[in-house]
Amino acid sequence: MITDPSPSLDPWPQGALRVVGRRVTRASATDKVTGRTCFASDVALPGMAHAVVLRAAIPRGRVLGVDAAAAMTVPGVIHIAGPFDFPLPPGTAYSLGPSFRPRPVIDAEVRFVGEEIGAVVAETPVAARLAARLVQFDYAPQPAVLTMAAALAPDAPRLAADGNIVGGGDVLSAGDLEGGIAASDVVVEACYATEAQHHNVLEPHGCVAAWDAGTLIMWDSSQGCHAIRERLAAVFELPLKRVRVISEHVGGGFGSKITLKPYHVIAAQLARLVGRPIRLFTERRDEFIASHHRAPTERTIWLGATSAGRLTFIAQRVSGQAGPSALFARNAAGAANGLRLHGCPNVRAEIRRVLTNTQAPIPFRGPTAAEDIFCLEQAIDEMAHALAMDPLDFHRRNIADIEPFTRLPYAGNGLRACYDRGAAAFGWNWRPPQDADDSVLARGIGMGAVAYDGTLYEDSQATVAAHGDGRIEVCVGLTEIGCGADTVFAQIAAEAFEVPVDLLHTRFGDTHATPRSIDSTNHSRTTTVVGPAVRAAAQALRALLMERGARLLQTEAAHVMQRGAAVARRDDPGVAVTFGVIAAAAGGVLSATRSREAAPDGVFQAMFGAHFVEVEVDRRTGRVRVLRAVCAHDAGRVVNPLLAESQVQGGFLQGMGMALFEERVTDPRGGHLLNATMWAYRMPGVADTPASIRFVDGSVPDISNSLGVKGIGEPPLIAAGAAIANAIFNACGVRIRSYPITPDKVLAALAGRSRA
Amino acid sequence: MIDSSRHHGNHRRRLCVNGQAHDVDIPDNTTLAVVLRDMLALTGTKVACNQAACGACTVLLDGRPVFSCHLLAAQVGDRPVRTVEALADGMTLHPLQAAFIEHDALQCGFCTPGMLMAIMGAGSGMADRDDVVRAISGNLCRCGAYPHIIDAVLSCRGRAAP
Ligand code: FES
Ligand code: FES
Repeated sequence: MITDPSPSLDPWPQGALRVVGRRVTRASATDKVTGRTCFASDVALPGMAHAVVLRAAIPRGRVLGVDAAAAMTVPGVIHIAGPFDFPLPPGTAYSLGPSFRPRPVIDAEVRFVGEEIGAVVAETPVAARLAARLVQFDYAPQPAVLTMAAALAPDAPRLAADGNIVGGGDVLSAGDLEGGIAASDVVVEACYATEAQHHNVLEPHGCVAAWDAGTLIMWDSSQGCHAIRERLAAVFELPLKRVRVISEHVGGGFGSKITLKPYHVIAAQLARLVGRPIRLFTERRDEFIASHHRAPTERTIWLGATSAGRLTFIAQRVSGQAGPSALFARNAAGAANGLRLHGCPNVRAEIRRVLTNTQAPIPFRGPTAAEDIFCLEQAIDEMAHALAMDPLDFHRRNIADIEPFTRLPYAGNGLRACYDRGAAAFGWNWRPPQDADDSVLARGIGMGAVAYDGTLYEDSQATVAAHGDGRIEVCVGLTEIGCGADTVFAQIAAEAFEVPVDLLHTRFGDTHATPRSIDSTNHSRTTTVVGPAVRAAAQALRALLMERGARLLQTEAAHVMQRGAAVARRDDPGVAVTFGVIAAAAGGVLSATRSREAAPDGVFQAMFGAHFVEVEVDRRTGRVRVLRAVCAHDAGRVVNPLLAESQVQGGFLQGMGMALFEERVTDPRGGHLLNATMWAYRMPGVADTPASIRFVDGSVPDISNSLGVKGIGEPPLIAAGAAIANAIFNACGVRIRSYPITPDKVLAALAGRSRA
Repeated sequence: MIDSSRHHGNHRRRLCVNGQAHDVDIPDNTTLAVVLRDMLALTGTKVACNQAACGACTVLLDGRPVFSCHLLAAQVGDRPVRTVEALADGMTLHPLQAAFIEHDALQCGFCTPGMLMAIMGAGSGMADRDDVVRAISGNLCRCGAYPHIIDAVLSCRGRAAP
């Protein structure tokens, strides 16, 4: 249901407010530290059976036959389905939109190692796993392309009729590139690469699916109950009210749990087939090989600048690994956020999204932007070095006035504030790289910036309700993924209501109990999309309570005022009725549902940030340690600095993982991932954590919405990588242009330099 | 209905969990995590990797932290098991839990029970950051809550005797 936006509300005044802007502790924290929070993977229903997905062991080809005879002898096995007898749902099997040819959720066609080709249902998870190992598949393999280089080779097998570059390629451009080249005094050219990154959420993907009198009920580990419900309804050709999705808390998403995935449909179909609830949660190995990842990318960047340090042009040639079809190709590569970061008028990026027999990329915190800005911000540092200029100084000379593609001004651009406040907090005192210094432990500092496109408007509704027992409830249709949606909307409502925040409870995560506030929690946009709807609903309920309260006090609304959580007579404040009593008189609940306000015209919303880090490089081992980081971010008004700090620290650490550690080891012939475990795929642990990761508020007044809020979820990851790489260069004079910057690459670069 | 567990031989075992004795019929190949979560409904303990690599399933066995996903229930014997559910005393939170809330030492919260139990198992003698790092070096937090976890633990130095 799309609704008309509410009229815009008066902007909140600058500075900290009564509740908004305070370090309120996380509402769900008590349940999380006592083990009471119920995640989807904790749900157990009576009569529940357990499913395991059968996955392809070859990268490309067809399943010719299935032998399940041995597997069927495992005690407790209930059903085994292969590609020829899996009951497909009536609607589009698995698709984001009509322009993509969908592959059914289970099919004989195999396009990557790990693709879904069958399922086992058993009484226990152990029996299901045991049986799954015994199912034999007969394949007709076809030649596969496992890397972008292989896919672009002249004699490569074609994965699509029009070749292995989706749509033949894509170009982003603005301004006059030739003019920019002509105006440049210095040109820098360099090639960079980024590696795939696995989300590695702690709670695996999965759900519990059950049918109740024709209604599909799903407890799902997803980032958005409403998005999953809408897609399921389409696939099963059911009216929305016959699908209920419950995703309250999720044990990590980071982009991997936004879209409908094959497991959703498989679990629902198996539940219907065996007539029992089905629990289907992914094993860790399958999380690695088939829950999608951040695409690996390669790019060449050309930058031009005047000798005075003004950028004259940015040109890029980018390739990203798109997986087996066009379905998720847009996540393979991009360049827009890098091109809008600096005030460079002449920009162009040629983007190739290359089909491969690997799992497809899906969003991972800052999708395409992190890959882009990790590389671009190293190139910017290279340019500052070529100009013999402090990189901070170079950044400051290139602040954007307008967004280059729409040519609109930003609703707020805090980049300068991020540079100034971040550098001051860090104690930025730049000096050129110490390549003559031969001490074992080399220290250096580096910086990197980020711009990230925001969301000015999306339809959103929220409800605020007063209950007879005195509770005030904020009801938002979204999933809380760890960002603090359970807390910040209560703060926003409490602010609008002028009541203490502890009076507010937030209800979320169940499509049958909430309005549709957002499809899914992603793209750092939940607060900016839903916040204005919550404020509007809170204000509307407050007005309603005043009106009803006045009636109960036998006077007019003009003659009453709010006193705490009560309505009192102006002439005699001792005569009052509490909100609870007013709600009780109205039948137990009094509520208001509102849509969010319209967006302002003629502006572009973006988040900004700048990171400053100090690293230590061990010249003997090549090991890099990040010693400290200051992360300045323009997230608009910060609703809760405590939770924002958590987001920033977590984002920085994931960016650090991508910059220094996270790397796949793949068998080059068979396409099998060889390090599909939590111990062999190296992620940041506590011992890698810098002594301090400090969040600095770099926001400036922002007119995106009446709250002045933007987002903070993704930019901290995006800004981290280049700042670290640039600090490594500053420490020991070597530039490593291929992420992750592992010790072997550092040692090789140091050795190469000493030979030179 | 066929019972897959019979395949491996069921044994009745007595487990002492959170101060309470439970008699459970379990196949020999059952991990402690499965018993806790699926049979005793103590779902506070999480299983994230099932590869003995992330620590989400950490519980205390005789006061020492163990990965319950890689410990067979049959190996437990009569040693007491303590899980996150037994950390608070009724409605009164353990000081470590209170510190986790105050410092926002969690985001999605899926690693949190394992983190808490690992810290509890390290004892009360944690003097500095390095001690905390050692205590949870076997626990992964993909949300990256480590800085706030360190702050939380250090804030209850001297008052968080397990
Ligand atoms: S679940 Fe046991 S260590 Fe990861
Ligand atoms: S809080 Fe999410 S994994 Fe630690």
